[in-house]
Amino acid sequence: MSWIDGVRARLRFLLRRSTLERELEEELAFHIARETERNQSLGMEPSAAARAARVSLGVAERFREEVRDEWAGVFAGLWQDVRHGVRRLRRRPGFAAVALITLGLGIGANTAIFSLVRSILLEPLPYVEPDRLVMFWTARADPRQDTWLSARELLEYRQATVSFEELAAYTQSNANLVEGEPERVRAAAVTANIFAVLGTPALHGRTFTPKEDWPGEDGVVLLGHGVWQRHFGGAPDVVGRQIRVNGITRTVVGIMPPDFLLPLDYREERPTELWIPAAIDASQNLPWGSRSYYIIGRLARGVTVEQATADLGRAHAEWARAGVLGDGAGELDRAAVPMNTLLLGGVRPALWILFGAAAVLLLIACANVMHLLLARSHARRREIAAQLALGAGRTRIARQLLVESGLLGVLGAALGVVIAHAALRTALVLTPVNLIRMRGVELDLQVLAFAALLALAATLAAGLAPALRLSGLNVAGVMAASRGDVASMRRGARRLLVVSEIALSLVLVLGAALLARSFAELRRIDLGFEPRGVLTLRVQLPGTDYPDQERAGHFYRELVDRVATLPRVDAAGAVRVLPLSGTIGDWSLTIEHRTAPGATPAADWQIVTPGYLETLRLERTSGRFLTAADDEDGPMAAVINETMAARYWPGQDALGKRFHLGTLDQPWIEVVGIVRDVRRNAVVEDPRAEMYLPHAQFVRAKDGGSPQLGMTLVVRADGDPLSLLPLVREQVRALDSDLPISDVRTLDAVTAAALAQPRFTTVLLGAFAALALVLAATGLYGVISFVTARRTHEIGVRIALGAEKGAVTRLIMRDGLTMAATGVAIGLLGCVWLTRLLAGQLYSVVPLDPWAFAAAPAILLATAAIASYVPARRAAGLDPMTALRED
Amino acid sequence: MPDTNAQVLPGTLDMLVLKVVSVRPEHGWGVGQRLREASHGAFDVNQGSLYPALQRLMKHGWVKSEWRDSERGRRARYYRITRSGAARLAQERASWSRQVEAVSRVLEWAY
Repeated sequence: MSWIDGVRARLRFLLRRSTLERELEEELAFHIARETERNQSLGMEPSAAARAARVSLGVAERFREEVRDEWAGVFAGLWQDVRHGVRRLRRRPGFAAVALITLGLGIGANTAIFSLVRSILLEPLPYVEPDRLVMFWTARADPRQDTWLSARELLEYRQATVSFEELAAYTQSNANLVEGEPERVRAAAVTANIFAVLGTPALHGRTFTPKEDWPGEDGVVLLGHGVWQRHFGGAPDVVGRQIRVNGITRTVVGIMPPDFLLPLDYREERPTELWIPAAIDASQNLPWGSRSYYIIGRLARGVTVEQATADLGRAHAEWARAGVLGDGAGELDRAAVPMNTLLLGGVRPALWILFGAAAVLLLIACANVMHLLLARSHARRREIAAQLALGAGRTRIARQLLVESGLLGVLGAALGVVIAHAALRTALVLTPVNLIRMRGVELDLQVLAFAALLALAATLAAGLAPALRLSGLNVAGVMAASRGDVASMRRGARRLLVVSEIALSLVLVLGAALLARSFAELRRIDLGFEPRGVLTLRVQLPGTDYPDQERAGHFYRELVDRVATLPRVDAAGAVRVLPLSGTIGDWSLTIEHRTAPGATPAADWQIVTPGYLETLRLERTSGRFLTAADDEDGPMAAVINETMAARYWPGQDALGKRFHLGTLDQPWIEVVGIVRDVRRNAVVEDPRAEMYLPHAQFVRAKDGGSPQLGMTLVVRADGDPLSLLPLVREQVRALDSDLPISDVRTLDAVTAAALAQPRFTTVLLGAFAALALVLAATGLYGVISFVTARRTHEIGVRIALGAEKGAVTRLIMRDGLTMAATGVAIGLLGCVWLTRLLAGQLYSVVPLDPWAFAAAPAILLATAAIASYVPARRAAGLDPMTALRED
Repeated sequence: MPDTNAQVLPGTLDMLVLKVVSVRPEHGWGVGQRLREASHGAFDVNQGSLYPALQRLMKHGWVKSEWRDSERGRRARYYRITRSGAARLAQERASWSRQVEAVSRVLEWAY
């Protein structure tokens, strides 16, 4: 079979290349020997005979290549081109380095952002059919805010709605675990069906059964993978064991897989690692208003989010008509919010913007590499014309050039992956907590494939034009032409490249300027407290050891007193929820003598010890702060914020007025002080009504129940607050040796975390803009240098005819600045339209911010001036004689 | 050297080389010699075409090569025709004859 012979021969060639090369050499040597012999027999001198033999073979090198071409077809030729390309790149290390770094940065930035986009936006949430999962958020806020619902509402929604296959709920808390080293872990009380609703089975053992949802049957617990490993060394026989959680003995029924997160864990630093049944007692007449649950719904098949929201609205309207919700019903309207929007809503636009910015950066990088290749191809045109004249095929030449740029692409991609790897590590440090999924961000095959694709695209984009141009060279034209003619041919394209580079850079610089402005505005926001120099740490008392106010009150009073007298400590106190570290929630109130209609009064409830307000340096506008006299037996007192005062006692002095918690017969509380508002839930929010109740009086204020067990200690000190930690820890130990402390941070870190997302976006876009600026400057510099070099002759004439150095410098610089100005003008036009995309990311800065629109062009023009000044100076310094002799 | 040195007719080199190695295995230089002799010096094959032609034939599997000692005792690569090469030669030969015949007829044509 002849084709099989052929294939076999080809394979043999590919596999045994070097052998064949050697054979070819030997065969040719044999040929020359025989030819020489023959020539001698015809009467030639030996040396002449040998020479003639060699001549008869033609130029040995070319001959060999033809024989090889006969064989190798595309592959071997390609290999040869690659080696050729490597040699060329090595011969010009400067060119290679600039091109590689440019491509590497472009590809690296894109690869890094792509891996973020992929793992955060493109990969589905790790639940079964996450598209069918929703949470109930308040319908009255835009953007919608999370909200707590009561157990009663959960049960009622189950009855009143038809859009859901199932509703589950959970409430977040903390648990002290004393197996081994005492540790405080995040825990959640969940309805038994929550694991089924989310679609995650247990790793070992089982999840909860419906029976365990009932009070009395709920002595069970599920362990998180982390807890299992840390406290039980991953022993499988933990399932079935009894452990004490918050002082209560529970049986471990299962271990959850390591990646299982409750929905809102995505915005927390630490995930939930312990689950206990919520044990909602449906047989009781549960109150409507006791809200502490997040509700998760799995939509019935075919039901849309809008239909579900309408369903919720209908149920709400019914209850409002029936009057079960009280007169604040309007605020309790709920909407179904898709899990995806809820978890990623804030991040998504920011990431897409960064992705777009990275793409722009890559375009600039490609333009720059194209420049470099064009400049190189110009320098090589004579060489290539010579190759063409000697009979090299045009496709072969084009291929050779493309291979060379492909080589740049491949090496650039490799460098890009390295850069992306480093960039991701940096990004992980900067990342906002709600990008927690970045824990799973890796440079895997998919990401590498993306980088390879970029490299290919970049190679084609940057290399095709020069390759086509050169392979299509008119041989005679090039050989005959003086330099000037050819240069002018190419100048148009190169100018176009520079102008677009500058326009693109302007877009990035302007975007970064807008974000920077906005971030500066965010930083300028008066938080209402002084975050510098404060140590914070969380303590959670177990309810079993501290069942009543006497015990809990004593503990916190003692702790604060002891810590406040430590050396270097200025002030200390404790608070239920630190500002900017979580949603605080509100409590409905009754205001004395209030007749105004409308929503039920409510205020965010803060529980503090004396010393807290002073430690955070809240500003008092009237009245007093809380003191040790506001204790369990003292008259009921509260400090409120200005917003609360203005809302419930408009036009009056709120000082001395009274209110009480809830709508029943709780004891009256007197307003003893008014403080300025602080930013509570987020840096950017409308101020909310807030009250500060003394820890000692909380149980009385709500008329019974358990004391506030979890508090965050705040300590203001000279010097580094964290260095106080050992001393503070000692005090906690002295009071209760089993008590773990957690969340040790400075208040500065807490507030910084609250700005993590805008910081993330700003820093990244800023970095992209800076890179773009450098690339555009390099591009401009390159073109000006190139054009100037082409004009050496002309400049020499000018100088010889008496042009001043200044005039020459101006001439060249005008060229560069004209290009820059054109690019800036085009870029500005684009920005007018593009900056609108940033609107959602801006705080107190409009997309058409005049400051940014002035600064960005100024930055670019200044950069352009510098980039063209250097070659202009060089041109002005030309020696006319040398210049004229050139060419 | 006679002035009648001519290039081999385009497209016929492969056929001629096949013919030469079909008689007996030859090394590259020998193929050139045989062509020159057989054509009475009319074909002086450019070596730059001969070796690529041999490689081409090998690639198609029409000839194969082996290394053995030459008549001068030096190792040389000998080319030998394969079975598919022989078939190919027969085919080329037939088509060549048809062409020559046709061309001759045209040239000898008269009213």
